Amino acid sequence: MTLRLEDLLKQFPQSGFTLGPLNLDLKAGSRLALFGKNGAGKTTLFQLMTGHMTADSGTIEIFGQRMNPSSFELKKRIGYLPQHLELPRWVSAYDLITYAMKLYQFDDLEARRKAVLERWDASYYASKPLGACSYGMQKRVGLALATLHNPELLILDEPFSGLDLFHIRTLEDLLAERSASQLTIVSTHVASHVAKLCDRAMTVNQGRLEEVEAWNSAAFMERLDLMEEQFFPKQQRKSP
Amino acid sequence: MSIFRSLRLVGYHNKQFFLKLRYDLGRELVVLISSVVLLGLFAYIFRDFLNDKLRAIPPAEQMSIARTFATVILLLIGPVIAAPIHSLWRDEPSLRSFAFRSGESPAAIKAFLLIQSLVLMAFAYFMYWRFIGIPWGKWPLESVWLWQNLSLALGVLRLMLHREKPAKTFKPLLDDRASTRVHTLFAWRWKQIFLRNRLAKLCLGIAFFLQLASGALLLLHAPFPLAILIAMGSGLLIACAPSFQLQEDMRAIWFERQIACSHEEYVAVYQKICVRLAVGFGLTAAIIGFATRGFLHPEETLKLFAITALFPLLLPAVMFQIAAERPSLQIMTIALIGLFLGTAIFAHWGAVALLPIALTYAKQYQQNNFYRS
Repeated sequence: MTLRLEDLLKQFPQSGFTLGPLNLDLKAGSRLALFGKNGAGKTTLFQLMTGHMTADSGTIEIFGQRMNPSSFELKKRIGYLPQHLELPRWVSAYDLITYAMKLYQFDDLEARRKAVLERWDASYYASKPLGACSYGMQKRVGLALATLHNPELLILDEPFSGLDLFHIRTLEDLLAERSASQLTIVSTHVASHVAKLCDRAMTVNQGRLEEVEAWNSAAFMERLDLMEEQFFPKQQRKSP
Repeated sequence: MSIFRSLRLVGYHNKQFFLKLRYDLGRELVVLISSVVLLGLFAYIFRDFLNDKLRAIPPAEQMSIARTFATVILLLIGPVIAAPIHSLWRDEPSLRSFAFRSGESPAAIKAFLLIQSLVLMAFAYFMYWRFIGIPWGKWPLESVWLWQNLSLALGVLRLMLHREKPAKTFKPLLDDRASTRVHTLFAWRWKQIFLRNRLAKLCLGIAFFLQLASGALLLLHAPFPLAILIAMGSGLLIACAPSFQLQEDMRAIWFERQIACSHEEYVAVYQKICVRLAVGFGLTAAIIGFATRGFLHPEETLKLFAITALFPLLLPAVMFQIAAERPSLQIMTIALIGLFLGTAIFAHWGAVALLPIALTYAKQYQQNNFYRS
């Protein structure tokens, strides 16, 4: 297995929210779509998977190694786009991508940087301060950083929000290009974005993971119907 | 009726401050109590030493120093208070823009902005006159008017000079040459401090100006403890520069955590930055000291080096103790510890030995907090 969660549990005593216990096995080559209401626990799950947070109990195993905040070698094999993207204000996209490539110890920086900036259509604002760039422009820089090293595990937390149609297509193409040895997890609130790309779908409901049944064998439009049938009836309003 | 609506907006605006305070209350209380305890301890330990140094300065000079200090602070208040007033009138999103979009009358919004600006100014100047101006300045009434108006004029000047700068383009910060990870992490921050981070650049500029001012005062035979006091002020300002850069780093720290930066690497990078700043500015202070005082008491003049260098050296040991993203807390902690150790070094060179002990202990205490911050 490429990613395995075993009885993973994280509790937040102040808010009373509990994520888990979660059990999950994902093989290389999978593309998993994750759905859930706001506050269901998707971002917490991603933060645990990427070692940004420690679990109260249970284990996360990625490529056969345990993940924790000091799993430095393991983290280099993961690409992550957080939901709330914050980038330094007084540097440019050019600077930030150069910095990331140098930290990954890449060779041939010029050619790689040019390719990345062109892929994300960021060349025309590459030398502008990121603080002066729009949310969509910053999102593309975030996506460039997450995918720069062609990671074996790519975790994208609501990557489509803030992107225009043209760049949604760029992201869809990138996800479609990922090889059979790579694993991709995408959270989104728009089922159609992932219905044609992901071979597996799960919902996070009150801190628990639930498989969307028959997703893999369903066609594009049927997958949207599956969401209607399996996601909405289980949701409850939190207001009294 | 719009005045009541304006006052209600003033109430909402100021309530935000108290809500934020309540949100951070636990941490603020810890900082406040620790600060009071440390200041009390400082006064208790160094009372005799400070009184002794104070007695060595003639009363007329003491008066002159206190008045100069009070004047500088008063002149600074105008431009400093201009910043939040500018934010109040211009920032987006804000209560002003929200009220405007919600259909509030422009007259009520304008009255709210005027009242809130007056509240800010009244609070700042009241605190100043209550705790600094009257006890330390001791000016005659006509001078009070002069300095007060000058301070206000400087504030207005700052507001007038403030322009929304168009987004310019940057030259590349890093070159493409191969380097180690730690060197890349270092160069990224070092260059931002000197080329991009406006607050950091401002702090270093003022610190250098203070060093020059200290040299000029020594040349005019000002008492040496004044130079020590200025060395402490400039040392603190030098420590502010990496503290503001740390705040900027913390905005996007997810990225460096994801790229597998360790706590040790991160602290080592700030250590390198702070040592360079400490040595650079410390040597400048010492050179200025020797150039203006001569070599009569070299061991005393060298204390300018140690005391200036002390403050930036403290940052790597305190950066993850409380809240790395809040420079005000970092600066306060550094100021308190620096005041303590700086005075001890001024009293006796042997106190330098305390520094490695304090730094080692503090660094152990914040172990791995990079991933918890």
